[in-house]
Amino acid sequence: MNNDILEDKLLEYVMGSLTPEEEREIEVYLNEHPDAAAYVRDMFEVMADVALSQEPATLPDDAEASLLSRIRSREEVPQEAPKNVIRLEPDLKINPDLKINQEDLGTLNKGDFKAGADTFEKPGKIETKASNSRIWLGFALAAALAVFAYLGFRPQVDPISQQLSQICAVQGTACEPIKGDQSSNLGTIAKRADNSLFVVLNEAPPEGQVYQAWEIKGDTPVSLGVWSGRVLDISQALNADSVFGITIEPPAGSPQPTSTPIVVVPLS
Amino acid sequence: MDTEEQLIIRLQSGDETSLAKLYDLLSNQVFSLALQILRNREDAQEVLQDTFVKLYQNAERFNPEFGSARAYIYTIARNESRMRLRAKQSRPQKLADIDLHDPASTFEANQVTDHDSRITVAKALEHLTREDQHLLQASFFEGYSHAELAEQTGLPLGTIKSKVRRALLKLRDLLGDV
Repeated sequence: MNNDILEDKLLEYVMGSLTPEEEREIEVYLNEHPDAAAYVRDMFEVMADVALSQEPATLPDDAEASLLSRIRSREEVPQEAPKNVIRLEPDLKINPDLKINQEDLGTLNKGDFKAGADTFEKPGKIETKASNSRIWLGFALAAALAVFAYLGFRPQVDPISQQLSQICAVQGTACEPIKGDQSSNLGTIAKRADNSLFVVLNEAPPEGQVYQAWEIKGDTPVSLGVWSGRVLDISQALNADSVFGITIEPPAGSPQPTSTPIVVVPLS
Repeated sequence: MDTEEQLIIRLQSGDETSLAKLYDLLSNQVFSLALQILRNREDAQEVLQDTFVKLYQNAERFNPEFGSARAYIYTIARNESRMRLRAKQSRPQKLADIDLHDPASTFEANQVTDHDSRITVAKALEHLTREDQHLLQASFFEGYSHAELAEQTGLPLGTIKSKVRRALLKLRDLLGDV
């Protein structure tokens, strides 16, 4: 990564405009580069100092009590199923207004979710008393088979898909599949109302290479940054009559595209 | 008395009293920051709660090597505010219309110890150019992205990023000199 790109990334990290995945990458980098970590620390401290320069605002008297109540109520809801409870519903609740195309997410199957449904928990405790052992063993086997069958076909929703769903649910955001050669699906592009983009590709770049995004104005490609994961969060507003493109480049990125774009999307 | 860093480290093991102490120390300023960005008291209160809930859930991600406890908390608050701003898809009214003090609440000035720090930072900010002050104000308190600032000012995005970076570094040097 050259100095300019690195400093931009560190500033974006400090400003909180990176994706969680990019943040983790920067944190790995910071762990290996004490100078960069010291630089970031300085930036954070200055930001906190600037925040301190504001006059503190007064809060409603019940604000703390309601926060603690919220924390405690979260603790009372089990975050993971205890060992003797079988969870039979997926955690995700689909927003009925969700605009994203079902086929774009591949693994998602709308029919598998119930909007607004509460998690249903079925006690799975197995009695071991001799008199009932066969009956309970039968129930346990049936339950285990049901759970196995269910989990086997249960859609796995990764955090990236969830993040994409949330972004696509925001009013004014348009989400479209990215089509490659022979209409293959390469991922999804979310165009926010402010003309910034959130792009999720199906695959991470090849090992040792990065995705580099470009805004092409006329014939001139302008780099929007490099990403080593499959999520490209383009927080800047792009020109509505430009073209968005992605190429695969060496780890530090390239001043100009050096490969055929894998994605070309007119923004108009 | 525990430092803020020690409180977060204790919070990492689920110590709820540490959360309450951090809240007592920083909630007014977190609320102030959210109010500056969102300019809506209800939204700012939601962000305040979300910030401390997130702190509670993500305390283990705090790494003192990367910054102080308050820098970590302010960063969460600022990001939560910006996310809310983006979700609302609209720029709020000007700050002059917002009263920082809730008439229904009793203001206990538990942040008095920060008063000197505020004066110090305010003095350092005065040494920045008007442009640098505007960029920091807009990017830090008004929730503008660098791209939006580039569009607003007509300057290239890279120039905006450099200017913000330089302004922050200059402010760091000024605060170091005070």
